[in-house]
Amino acid sequence: MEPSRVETTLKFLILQHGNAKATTVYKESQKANMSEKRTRTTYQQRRTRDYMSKLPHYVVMDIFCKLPLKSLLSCRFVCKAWRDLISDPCFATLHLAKAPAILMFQIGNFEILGETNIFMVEPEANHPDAITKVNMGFNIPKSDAKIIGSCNGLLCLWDDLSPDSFYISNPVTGECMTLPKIKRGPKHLSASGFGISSKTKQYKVITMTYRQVLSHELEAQIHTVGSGTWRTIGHVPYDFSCALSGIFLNGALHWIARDDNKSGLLCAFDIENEQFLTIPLPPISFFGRKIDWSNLGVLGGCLCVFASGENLFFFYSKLEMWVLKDYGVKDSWTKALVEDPVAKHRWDKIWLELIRNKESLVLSYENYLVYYDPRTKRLRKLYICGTQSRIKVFPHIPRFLSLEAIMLGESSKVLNIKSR
Amino acid sequence: MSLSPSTSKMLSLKSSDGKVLEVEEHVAVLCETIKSLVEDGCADSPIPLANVDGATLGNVMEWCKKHADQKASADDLEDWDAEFVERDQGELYHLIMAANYLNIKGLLDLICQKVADMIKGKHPEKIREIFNIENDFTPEQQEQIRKDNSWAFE
Repeated sequence: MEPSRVETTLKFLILQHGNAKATTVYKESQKANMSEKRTRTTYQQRRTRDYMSKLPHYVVMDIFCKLPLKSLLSCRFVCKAWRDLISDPCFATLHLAKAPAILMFQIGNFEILGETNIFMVEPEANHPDAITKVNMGFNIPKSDAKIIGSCNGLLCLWDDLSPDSFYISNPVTGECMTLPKIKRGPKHLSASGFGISSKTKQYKVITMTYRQVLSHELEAQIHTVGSGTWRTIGHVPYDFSCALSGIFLNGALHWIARDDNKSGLLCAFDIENEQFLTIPLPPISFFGRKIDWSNLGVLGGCLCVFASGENLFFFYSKLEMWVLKDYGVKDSWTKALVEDPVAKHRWDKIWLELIRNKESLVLSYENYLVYYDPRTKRLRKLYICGTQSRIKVFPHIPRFLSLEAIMLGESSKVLNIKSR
Repeated sequence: MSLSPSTSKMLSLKSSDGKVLEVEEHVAVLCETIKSLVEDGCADSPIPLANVDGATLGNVMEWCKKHADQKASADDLEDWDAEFVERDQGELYHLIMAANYLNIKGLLDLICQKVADMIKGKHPEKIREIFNIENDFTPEQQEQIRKDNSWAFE
């Protein structure tokens, strides 16, 4: 205890308030300081000045929960005790409850932002108006991985330099497992998805590939993590040529597909029973012109879809966003906004808002990102460092559990885990 | 029971080193531990606080007094708190332990945030230096960490 500070504060209190209680406190603390001085030398001799090691573990965990992700990651390398605390499942639970979801970005041409094309962003530690890019290290043989999906703190990745290779990684711990090779891997990123079954808690990866070269017949291949093989679940009766990563919600993956008449439909794949279902899209008419169902996302736990098209006079494109308020109920489609995305905004300020606001939504639209703010019900375009390349954004919940612990908590058998 | 300043009575708190502090009840009940004693009617004699020394108790009550003051605005409190946590690590440590023992969530949160701010944005090496933490990784482990996690130290 620093006597001078207590004295100064208490003297100040007496001066300010002329307070009898403060005088008592002051006198008491003077006496306290005397005995403090007597005991201090031995006290310090007995104990080192490493106060952190003397704090109860749950207090240290509480401190760790107040750290940005990037700082937390480097705390693991301070000492063994900190490393062990951060790897403790209790900490993972605490952190999961307190930490916000963050956004995982993937950028098409990655030379702009350095050697890695997958990263997270979060507010800068000591500058509330700036953001930090947190690069992720993946233990993947080749680095040109594309994100298939994010679920329970795990990312599923696919390597387009080695199209038969899929990986599952926890980017926070850097661990990665290689899935068994797929027989006919997709030639380019095709409709795929990653999710967990609601009953058996098994993780599954699905990808849709053409049966033969130049064939238009799609087939779905599925892998149950831990099973050792990919299975073919047969012909897919919809056109998935414009769909990419499936959106995981309510135990199912969702894509915008097309039927035989080339009109859009919302296609769901139930992870548990491995069945395809369709949900009609909202009733929209853009003056009879072609509607581009550009995007699918989740907003406040509901599926939402973006529809764009030209307006009556071809002056500018029109964008509508619809939310499916009751899952699976086609009459519950509600129009959330109609806007012409023309305004440009500085992306860095908006970034902060969207990271802090769990209910916000980011989608890629054409070559830029669109950010929807539910408070103002407005839509904004985002730009990253002037790049015009295709960007994909995934909400991701960082988890400080080992890949194995996340998997074992859910399914039975995990193979080939490599740490970073 | 009324806890308003005008009718507040005095409580005696006895620290681990035997010092007795007279504190207004509406200030002292910011400590949940003391509040439950008051509510159970066990707060008549000096309340023994075996885990808090006199000087720390003085600091804790200084914080409680400020936060019990209903005239203090949120901005005012924020500035005051920012100054309050400008202390050396020994003091911060004793404050954390006291806030934890006396169950004062606001104070515990404040000091934990202060410690988190001291860690934020710093390299492991710097964190060890600030908190006098011994690096107990072997040179081989150290090298491996550096190799495997170069991305984390940018």
